[in-house]
Amino acid sequence: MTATSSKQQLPLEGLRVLDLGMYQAGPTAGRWLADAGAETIKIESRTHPDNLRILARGVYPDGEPGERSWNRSGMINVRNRNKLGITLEMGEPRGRELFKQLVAMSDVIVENFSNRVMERWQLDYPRLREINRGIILASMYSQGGTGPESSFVSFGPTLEQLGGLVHLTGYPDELQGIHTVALPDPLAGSMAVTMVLAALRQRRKSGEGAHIDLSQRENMTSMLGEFVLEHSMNGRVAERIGNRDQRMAPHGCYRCRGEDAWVAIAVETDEQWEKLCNAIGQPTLIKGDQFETMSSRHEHQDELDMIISEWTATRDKVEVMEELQRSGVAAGAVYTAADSFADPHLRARDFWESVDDPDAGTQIYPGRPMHMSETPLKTRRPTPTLGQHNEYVFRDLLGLSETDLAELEATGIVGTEPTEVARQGRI
Amino acid sequence: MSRPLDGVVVLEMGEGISAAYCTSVMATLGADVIKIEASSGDPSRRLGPFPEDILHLEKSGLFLYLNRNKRSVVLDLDDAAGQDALRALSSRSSIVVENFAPGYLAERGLGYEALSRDQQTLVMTSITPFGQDGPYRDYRATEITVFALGGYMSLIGDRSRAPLKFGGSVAQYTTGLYASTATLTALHLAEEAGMGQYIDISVMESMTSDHSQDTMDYSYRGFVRERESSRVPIPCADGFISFSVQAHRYEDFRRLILGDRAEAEEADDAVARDQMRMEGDLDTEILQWSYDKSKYEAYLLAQDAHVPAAFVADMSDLVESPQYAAREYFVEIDHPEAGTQLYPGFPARLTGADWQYSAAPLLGEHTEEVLSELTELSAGMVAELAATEVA
Repeated sequence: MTATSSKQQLPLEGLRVLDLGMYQAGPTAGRWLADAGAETIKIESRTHPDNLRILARGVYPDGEPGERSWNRSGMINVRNRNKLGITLEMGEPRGRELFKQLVAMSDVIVENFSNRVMERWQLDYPRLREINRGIILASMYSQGGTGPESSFVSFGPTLEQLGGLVHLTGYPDELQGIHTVALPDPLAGSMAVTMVLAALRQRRKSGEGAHIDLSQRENMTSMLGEFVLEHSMNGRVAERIGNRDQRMAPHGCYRCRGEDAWVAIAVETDEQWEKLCNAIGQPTLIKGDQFETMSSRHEHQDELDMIISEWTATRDKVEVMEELQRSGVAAGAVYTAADSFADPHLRARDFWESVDDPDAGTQIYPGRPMHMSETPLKTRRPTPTLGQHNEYVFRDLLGLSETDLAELEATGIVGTEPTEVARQGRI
Repeated sequence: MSRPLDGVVVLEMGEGISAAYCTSVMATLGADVIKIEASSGDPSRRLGPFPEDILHLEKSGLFLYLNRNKRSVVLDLDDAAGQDALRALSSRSSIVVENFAPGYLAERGLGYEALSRDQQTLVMTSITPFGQDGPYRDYRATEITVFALGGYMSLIGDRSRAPLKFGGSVAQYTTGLYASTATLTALHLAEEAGMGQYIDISVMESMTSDHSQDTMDYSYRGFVRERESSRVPIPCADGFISFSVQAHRYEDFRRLILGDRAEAEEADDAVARDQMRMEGDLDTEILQWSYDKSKYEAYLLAQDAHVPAAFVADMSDLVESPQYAAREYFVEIDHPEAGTQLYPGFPARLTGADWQYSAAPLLGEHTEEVLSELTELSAGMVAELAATEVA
């Protein structure tokens, strides 16, 4: 292999993935595999398109659903790049028969259904293994495939509560409401792919595929290990402490000039405390009785926060960040999406990607956190429109005739538009 | 039983959470993770929590959790002999993971260029707050400041109060997890096609790529999403629950809350299309239903009625969770200094593999063992390196 051609190779080229994922967690796993070069076929159906095609929360180009709204939402298009897309009615015997033919020629299946669905379709791991001994089934369950709560339905925000994060988040004097971001979903996507890669390595030795039984709830708790140890060691149940820290002070989020503008500041050492005092023009505070040591600063945080807020309040958040960073103090402006898009650092690192979507036009998307030196990951194709690659998958891969495909379309097993019921979001 | 990463040697040169969590995942999956520490130890050894709050380098809960299943080797990376030993170890490794400040290792002749010279299929991953280049490369960062820059913070909290960070250090954990996925992706290529590579991964970009509703709102329609706090969890006798009701579950939800009255009173179709209104509409009734039930009981009743529900779980709820118990999620690990403690296990199971847990290493516990086993260094040199005074 020449150096030039090896540069072209992507890490997972040659693998085929069937992505049954819906919403965020499953499709994020499929996206990761697709980004890394696996031929990833997103499988939806006319009756059950990916719910984010329908529940788009208004995220359309210029806010307009337009024609074929199911292909036009940022919510679907941000999460399914580099995949091929087909429709297949898994509720119908003929649909499942075709799915099994795909299983026979694939390496990995990703799904994040509730744990009864695959079994109801008689597509649980033992049955899939009969079709393809090497198949790897990644089941991204809410709470795992076993246990008394395993059949419970949940979503990202509910898993933050069940997994322990919400109890630790919020102002000390007020219970935190439910917010619109869902951390457990992308985390689950990443862990599922880690497990797929582990299973692929295992398969190389044994020739055997595997079933991955992932619990998204456990995956959340696994990010809170020190609190579990605190409970084990000292019998203590950790409580929320807002923007404060167990150890550092000052440590918080301070109001800046302008509408809803804020900056986060954290002082890790006495040396940084000195730098902060100089930066805000208060050198007399450095050795002041109340603030000289980390523990005295910790005790007098309310006073500290007032002093710092007074300084930040008349300044721009980015200027505060830059000035404190020049002094050697950790500070970060609280970025909105608009700030993130304009940020010079993310631009310098080519973080954002412009992608031309068939029905949504040219849009800007967040890129990836990892920069790989030999196999840079890029968007090679936009998110498929519903059923966009039916022809390729059913004719070229499965070898169906034109008449067969027409028959599937006529009976609604495949198609390129959601059913009327699905379009109402009552799926 | 075998484990999927058996035979993979991983060198970890890290401090704190992100690199340690990255390699902790690999260690559970079977990799032989060798943690390089300075003689003063990983700073997380000083962060606690500690039993009875007494600082002890071998008893930090954070360190013990993040470093189980690993071996500890103490090397002075400022010293030529330490650098030689490090290079000798990396030439026997498949993976190097580090989270020093950009340039730190290269200045000591331990960057990717140097380490890959002797091991061409090496996968080396650097985890930093901002990445290896760009204007913020050398910015200082802690969990809260990079969480703010990563765009999460502006979405969490009350509109009338300061934006909030998530509890704990989830930005660093998250980046560590992403780094493990990226590194194993590259390992796949290294083992299949003999191509190594360098991976630069940053906390800021991990955060910015994570939450997409707000970035898509802005990209697609120029709309800047503000933090919301409209749906506060519902009080129960001993805590809080919440519902996540979609349109097709509205009837189930009404039956749960209203009981027999659900049949008698007509549901408003417009309400059923709007999650906020669905719950708002029944505010009083929900409280009447919930106030005398325990959070766990209310959660079970709702889920039995097919209504997606959750309760706000604290650490004691999790430790006592029947679901976690049934899956044996928590594990007991015995440590010579810290005793037997309860730890989170691993969040995934894999057919044909079995996870095992050994306690986090004492500082420098394996210096001699690892250097003799994996390098050609003379016995005298190994003894000299192993004799370094620790902390």
